[in-house]
Amino acid sequence: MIAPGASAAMNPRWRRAALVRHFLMFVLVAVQTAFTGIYMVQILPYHGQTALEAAVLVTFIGLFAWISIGFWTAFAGFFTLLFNLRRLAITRICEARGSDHAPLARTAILMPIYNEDPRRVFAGLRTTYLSLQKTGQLEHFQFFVLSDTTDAARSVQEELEWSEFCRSLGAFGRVHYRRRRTHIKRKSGNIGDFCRRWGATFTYMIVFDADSVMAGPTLVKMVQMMEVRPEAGIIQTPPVTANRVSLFARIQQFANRVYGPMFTAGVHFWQLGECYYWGHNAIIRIKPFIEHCGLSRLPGNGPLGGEILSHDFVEAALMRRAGWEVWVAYDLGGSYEETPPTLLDELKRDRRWCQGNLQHLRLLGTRGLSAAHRAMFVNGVMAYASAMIWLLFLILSTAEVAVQALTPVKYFSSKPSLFPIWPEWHPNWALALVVSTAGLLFLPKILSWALTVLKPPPTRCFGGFFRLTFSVLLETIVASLLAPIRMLFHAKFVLTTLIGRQVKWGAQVREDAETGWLTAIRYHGGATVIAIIWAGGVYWLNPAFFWWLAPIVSALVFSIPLSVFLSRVRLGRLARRAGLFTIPEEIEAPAEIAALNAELATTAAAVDPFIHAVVDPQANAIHLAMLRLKRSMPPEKAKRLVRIRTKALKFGPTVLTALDKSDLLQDVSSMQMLHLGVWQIADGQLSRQWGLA
Amino acid sequence: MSHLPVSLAEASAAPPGDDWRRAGQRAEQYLAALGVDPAERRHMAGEAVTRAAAESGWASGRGATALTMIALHQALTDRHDEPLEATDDLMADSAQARLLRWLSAAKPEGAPPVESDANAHVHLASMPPMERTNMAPARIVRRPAPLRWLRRMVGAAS
Repeated sequence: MIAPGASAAMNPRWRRAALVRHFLMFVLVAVQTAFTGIYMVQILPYHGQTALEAAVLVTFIGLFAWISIGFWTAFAGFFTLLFNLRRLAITRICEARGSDHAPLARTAILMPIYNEDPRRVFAGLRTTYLSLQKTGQLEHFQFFVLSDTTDAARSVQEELEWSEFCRSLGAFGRVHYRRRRTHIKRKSGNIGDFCRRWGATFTYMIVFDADSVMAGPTLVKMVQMMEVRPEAGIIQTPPVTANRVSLFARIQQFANRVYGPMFTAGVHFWQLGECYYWGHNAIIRIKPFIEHCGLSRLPGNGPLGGEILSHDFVEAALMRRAGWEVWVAYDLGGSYEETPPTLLDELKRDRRWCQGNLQHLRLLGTRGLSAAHRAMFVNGVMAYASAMIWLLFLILSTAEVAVQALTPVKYFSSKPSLFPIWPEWHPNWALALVVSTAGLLFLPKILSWALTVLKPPPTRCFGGFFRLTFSVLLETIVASLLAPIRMLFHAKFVLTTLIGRQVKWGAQVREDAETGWLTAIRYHGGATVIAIIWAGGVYWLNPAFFWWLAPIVSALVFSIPLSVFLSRVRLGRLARRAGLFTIPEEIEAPAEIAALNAELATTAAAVDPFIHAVVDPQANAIHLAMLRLKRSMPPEKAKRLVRIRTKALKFGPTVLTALDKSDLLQDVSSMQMLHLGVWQIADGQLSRQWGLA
Repeated sequence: MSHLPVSLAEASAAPPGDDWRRAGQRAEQYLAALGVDPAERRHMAGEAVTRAAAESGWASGRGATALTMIALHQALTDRHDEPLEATDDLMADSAQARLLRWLSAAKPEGAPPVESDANAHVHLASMPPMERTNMAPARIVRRPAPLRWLRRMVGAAS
């Protein structure tokens, strides 16, 4: 095992390249931003000499630098993929070291779950398991489903799914299930708990998300890469989003599939071995992870204190601090995940990520972190803070218009001056700036489109050349409409986080669920009203400026129908039939995705998990075998259990509260007695309540 | 044993007030849920009804369905000779028998990790043995630079 900090010395080539590239990125962004900033100064009527204009200028520069980073990332990714520049790609480096023939080490595949749909979780796991089995390397892997599920009934479903999975595949002893009673530190705590108890027996762990699916050959390749690259601490795969059917999700999948590879290649180009870890679909060397990546609580109870929510970025930074490399294998396939089905679901996820990323502000001063990872923290903060800056820019611009419209022109400043200040308006220059900024925003899309046309897979996998082109155009329009809506929400998230509103740990919606009109009105109604007032006010102040603002306010005005229609599964299917937003995974589904869909196509009868665990003889036996017999119980609790199980047998399950069910489910005697008691009920009506004829 | 009902039809007419036919159907339903094949189901349900009707337990207040189900559980746990009683032991043994029956259909590749604890509670071990190790939190939070400099200056002065 190499000593911390030794990897850079062992492989100075990528380190030197990384330093040059970081410097180059800094120069490119700085020069481009400085040039545009100076141009902006010329455009402002008072050339930035008023306080308001200075504020407009500062926000503009912040936003432009952010856009510029994205542009150069895409630009680097474009050339990397176009000319297949794999010299410093981790996959190529490992292949050169003979990774294809490397023996495998013991690897744990971890699937942390939290109140997820157990059927979907185990369907995904089954797909991965069978794919791995086909490689003939299954013996090197152990699977761990690490449940943090708080809903007792759902946890029973998890137990049953696990046991059936193991029984049907002969996987007892290879596929494990553990439910944590205390959910300390959320997902990072869940993985940390595994590391403390079982981590020492494995060399690597591959972390999944609840909706992750990975191909067996990819898993084998990841382990082989780690084996021949002892300096690597984490290797992240780029997951392809697939398998969703709502219009919103299909558009997101398409965007991820067309633009994603270029951006990932770009991120790899700039960061090399100091790259991202996205929390799932990645392999981690366990020993250094245990030694260096334990996360403490951030001091204080404020919004930026407490448990670290976006743990993955921090773990990557800590791994690198200890001298281990963190790579993104941008050219490794066979890694899949799913995207949120609706805009509101995406925003709910963003709410959580926003607080997590803002917490990284407190870690910027952490000793020993690489500059690349500090920049990564800033990047993560800007992912949400940029929305706030954009909103501020729009507010300040509107204020500038109001000042221009409502106050007389000032030719002399408060300072002594011989010459008057002539306010200058250059609409053509402003137009040129807008066009060039839009160019930076949209050029990556054009480059991605070009790559998709020029490089494999063939365009027929995207529905053909014309459908692909039309889909890119439509996606660009939808993304432009969604940008102001996301901006307003993200700005709100930043603000609410900073004023101390904590995020609750909610389960992520993973199945296709549509947004209802009332829900959309509840979430987007405020934005619609604000946009109408804003648009009306600006039109009254300066009709010419209104047209500049129109793309933003019109998107906000129509945010309710937009959110509803985009969530529609029917429209998603319609687009699919029309060949729009098609991705290769839909045309020629990889074996893993096809297997997952076949697995999920069988409909399971909807049964109350509590009733199922009580009534079904096998489910009851399995659940009992998963419970620990309590040595002692407080007399009050024992009395309560007697009371509620008597109530259940006398009046049926409908009289029980969720807490009653949860308590009964966790008590061995109660579950035994209820099982025996329910099957002895002779009364027809009561029997039917328990699902018996 | 010739005085006992030998079929479900006969059984239903045996003790007044109790529906033996329904008790038999319930036993069959239970066996179906357990995955017992139809022919064996009918036979076992019939036996359970026969045994329940032969016992005087129904006279003690238990209905036909209850007695039949207890008899069925006893049959499933090989306790044919004991009187019909719903004890804690029977419940535990029944659960164990059901678990083993279910596991018997498991693919042979992975041995089901069934173990008993100190209280003889049969447990399905879902995790491998632990090998504990320490995972200490890394030092990550650092005071902002001006505060650090101030602290250093104060420290140097004192």
